[in-house]
Amino acid sequence: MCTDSLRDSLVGFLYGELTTEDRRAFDAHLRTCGPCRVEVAELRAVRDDLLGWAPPECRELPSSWTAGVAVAPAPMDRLRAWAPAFGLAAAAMLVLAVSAAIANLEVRYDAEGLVVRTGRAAAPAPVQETTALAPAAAARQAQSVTAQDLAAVTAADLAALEARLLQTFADDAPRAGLQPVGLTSDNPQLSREVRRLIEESERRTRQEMAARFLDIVSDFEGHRRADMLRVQQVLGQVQSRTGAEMAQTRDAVNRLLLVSQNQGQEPR
Amino acid sequence: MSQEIGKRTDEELVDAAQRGDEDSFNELVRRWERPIFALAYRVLGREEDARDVCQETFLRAYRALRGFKGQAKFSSWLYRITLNLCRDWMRRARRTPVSQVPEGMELSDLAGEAPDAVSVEDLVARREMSAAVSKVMAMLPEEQRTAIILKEYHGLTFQEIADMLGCPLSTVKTRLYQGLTVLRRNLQRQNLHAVAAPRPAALET
Repeated sequence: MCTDSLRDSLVGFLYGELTTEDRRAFDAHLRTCGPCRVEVAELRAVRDDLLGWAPPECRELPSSWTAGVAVAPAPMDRLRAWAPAFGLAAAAMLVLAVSAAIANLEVRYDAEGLVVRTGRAAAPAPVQETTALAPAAAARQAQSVTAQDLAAVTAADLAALEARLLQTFADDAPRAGLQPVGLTSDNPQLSREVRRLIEESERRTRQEMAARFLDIVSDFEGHRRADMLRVQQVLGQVQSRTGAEMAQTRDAVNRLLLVSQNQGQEPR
Repeated sequence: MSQEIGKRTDEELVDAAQRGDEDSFNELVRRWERPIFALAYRVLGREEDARDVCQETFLRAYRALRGFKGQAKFSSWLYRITLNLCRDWMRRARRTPVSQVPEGMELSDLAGEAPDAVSVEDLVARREMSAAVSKVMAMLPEEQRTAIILKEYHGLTFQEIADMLGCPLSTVKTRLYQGLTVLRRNLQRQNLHAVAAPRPAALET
């Protein structure tokens, strides 16, 4: 190889980045300079060899991670993205619980499995249940029993109210000559009674709803804790198993190394 | 704007992405992720590292997109981000590039991408070739290796390489020349002959 400027020309020639003029000049040089011809040929061969280096086919390029947003989450973010699933599940449970409470349904998921009951029809059942359960849970059970009782009382109240109203109408109709349609504030005692009963019933319903709500929330919390615990246990098992496998592999490799070293020494 | 997204130029896509069009940015990612991954892979020599750097490159590009004023080509801008990340990566890990037989590349995969009627011997030879080149490239000093990678596998001009690496034009040529010379010596030592692979268009994407 000759001068620096010639070397620059050679590189330019090799990569086809010479001006027409420079190229012509270098062509002329090549015709007279054997070493440069050899050099160009050999470096071209190197360039051909370089083409043999292919990157692996990577299947996890950014576009494969993105649905709508271009910013791909790191693996940890992807793991974390799952956590809100709990939140969603909890929200779904709450909606279910509220609608169940409103419909006067009882939905419970415990040792007996999934229990769905309508409040009134099953009023006596919880009492037997209470006796069978541990004392710690008894307090809450008692609470739900009173809730059941309240529901029953409400039904009885309504029946009583209906009877009383009918009675009142029957009394009033002949006296004032009015049809029952005209039930207005001209009977202050009756309307006060109705309002009181309605308020009472509303209060009970609210209490009942709150009690069931708490029940379900604490149930859900308990299950969540238990599930998390199980997940952690399984993860721990997996980790320790992987650790054991790695240790085994290391041992095997060490043994192989020892054996190969021994073999290497034997011939001497 | 009604033009099909795949047919738009990088500049048009960058412009739209800067105005908040996610689809345009996604198209840029699709267009450039392979070259960027290949660049990072050849500089770092490890698939997982290259994957991380590739991801980080687009993350940074996404964040910094508003600051990109079109003073360079979008691809050059991306390459520069990737190279900076690679440099940080090597510095932090105090790791020189590892030569690595492309992992996860089975003979059957090679067969899939090879032109028809290629013998198993050829496939094996090609795989050996790939491993050998990756090995001798890993032995080059970083600046020579980078120059050769940008030139050979990404088809940049001398001037583009000089701009990207922040060095004079003549330095780029010297690095290329020295790099090729060292490669020639080391490849001859490996005593391998290139499988007559058909030379594709200068760019491989």
